[in-house]
Amino acid sequence: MNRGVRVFFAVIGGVLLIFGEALGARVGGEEVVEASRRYRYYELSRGFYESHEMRPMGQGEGQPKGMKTGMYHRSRLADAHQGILFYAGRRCEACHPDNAASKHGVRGNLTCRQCHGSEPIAGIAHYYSPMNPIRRHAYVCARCHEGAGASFATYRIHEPIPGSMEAKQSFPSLHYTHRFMLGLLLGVLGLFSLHALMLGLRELFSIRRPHP
Amino acid sequence: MNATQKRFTPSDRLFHLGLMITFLTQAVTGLAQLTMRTPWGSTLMYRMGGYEKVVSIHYIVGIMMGFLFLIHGGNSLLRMGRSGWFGSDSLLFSWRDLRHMGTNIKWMVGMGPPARLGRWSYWEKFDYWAVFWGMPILAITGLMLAHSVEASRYVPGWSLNIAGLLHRAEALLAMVYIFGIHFFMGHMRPSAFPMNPSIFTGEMPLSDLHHEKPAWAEELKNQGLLKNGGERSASPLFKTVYTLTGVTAVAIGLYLLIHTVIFMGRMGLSG
Repeated sequence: MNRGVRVFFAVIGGVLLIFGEALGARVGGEEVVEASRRYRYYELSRGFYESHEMRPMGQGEGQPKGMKTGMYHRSRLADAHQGILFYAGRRCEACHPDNAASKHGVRGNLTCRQCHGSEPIAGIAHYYSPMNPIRRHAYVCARCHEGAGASFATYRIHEPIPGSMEAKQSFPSLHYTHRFMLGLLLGVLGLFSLHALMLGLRELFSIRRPHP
Repeated sequence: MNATQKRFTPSDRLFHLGLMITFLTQAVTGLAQLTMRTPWGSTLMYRMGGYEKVVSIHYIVGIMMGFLFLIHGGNSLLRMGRSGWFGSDSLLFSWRDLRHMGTNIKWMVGMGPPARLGRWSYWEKFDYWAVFWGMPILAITGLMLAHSVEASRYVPGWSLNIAGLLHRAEALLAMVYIFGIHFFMGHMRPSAFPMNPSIFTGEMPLSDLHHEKPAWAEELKNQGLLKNGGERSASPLFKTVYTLTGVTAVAIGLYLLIHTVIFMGRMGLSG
C-alpha cells in the first residue's frame, strides 16, 4: 500500500474514531466499555477508586524496583524526581521546557504545581497519583472544569508539536490532521497567490482602462 | 457620473458588511490569543481589556457570525429556489469557470486574450464558497472548545486537541487568504486600486463592466437590462463613509496579515 493510501485511511480512521464512537454509543444504546466512557457517568467525583485498582506485583508502595527489562519509568514512582541531584534548587521548566508552554501556563496563568501537586510529586502513572488517568478528571481537572469526566481528562494539555515525529508516534490523529491542514493551506495559498501575482503583473503591464 | 449597473442587492451588501465586521473582530481577538506570549500579542490583549474579555468577545462575535451565516444560507436557498440553481447568474461552479481560469492563465503569460468573464468570476466564486467550508469548521470546533466539558461527553477529550488545531489552522488560512488574496484581488490590483466600492454601493460603472465582465454585459444587453442601476450618484457623505470603512478594513487586514505571517513563520500551525 503506498503512502498516499495509508494517509487516506488514517484520516478516514481518525474521523470514524472521533464521530463513530459517539454515534454508535448513542444509536446502539449498548454498554460502552472504553475506559474514558465507562467512568464517565458514575465516577465523576465519588472519590473512591481503590476497588478498581491493582498494585503492581512484587513491588512495595512507591519503591522503584524496576520492570522486567531492568528499566523503570519515573512516571510510575511515588516521587517522580527521586534521586535527582540538586532537585530542590531547580525550576520545572529547566528540565521540562516543552511542557512549560502549555495552554494552562500561557493562557490560564497556572503553575505546574497547581495540577501536579506539591512535593513529592508523584509520577502521572503512579497508582495513587491524582494524575493517574483513572482519577485525573476528578482529582485534577474537575477542580476548575466543573463536571469534567474521564473523557475530558484525555485532552492532552501538554500537546506535542503537531508536525513533529513525536506527535506522529504518540498522537497520530493530530499529526495527520496537521498534515491535511498544512496541505490545504499550502495548496490554496500557493495556487491563488500565484494567480493573484500573475494577474496583478499582467494588469500592471497592460492597463486596460484608466483609473476610476 | 458614469452610468452604472446594479451588481449587488441590498441584502448582499449587508451580509458582506456583517461578515467584514465580525471577521475582523474575530481575527483581532483570535490573533491576540495566539500571540499572547509575544510582546505584540500581550500589548494587543492588554489594550482590548485582557484575556477574559477578549475570549468573551471572540465567543459572542463568533455566535453572531454563525447566525449571520445561517441566515445567509437560508436567504440564498430561497433566492436560488426562485431564480434557479444554474445559469450564468449562478454562484455555483461550472466547467466554464475552469475554462475561464485556463484562458486567463494563458493571457497572463501572453498567449491570447483574457477570459470573457460573466457576473461572477471564478476567483469570486472561490472566495464565496471558501466561507462555506471555513465557517462550519470554525463554528463546530469553536463551540467544542468553548464548551469543552460538555463536548467531551459526546466525543473523546483528545479530539479537543484536534478541534484546537483545526480551528487555528482554518483561521490562519482564512486570515492569510482574506487579507492577502481577497483584498489584493478586490482592491489592490492595478485595475481596482485603491478601492472597488461595488460591494458598498451595489453598483458597478458600465465602463468597468465592459472591461471586466464582458460576457455579463453582453447578456444584460441581450436581455435589455443593461444600465438598470441608473445614473444616480452616491451622496458625498455615503462616499466618505464607505471609503473610510473600506480603507480602514484593508489597513487593519494588512496589519494583521503581517503579524499572522510572522506568527506562522515562528510557530507554523502550532498554538
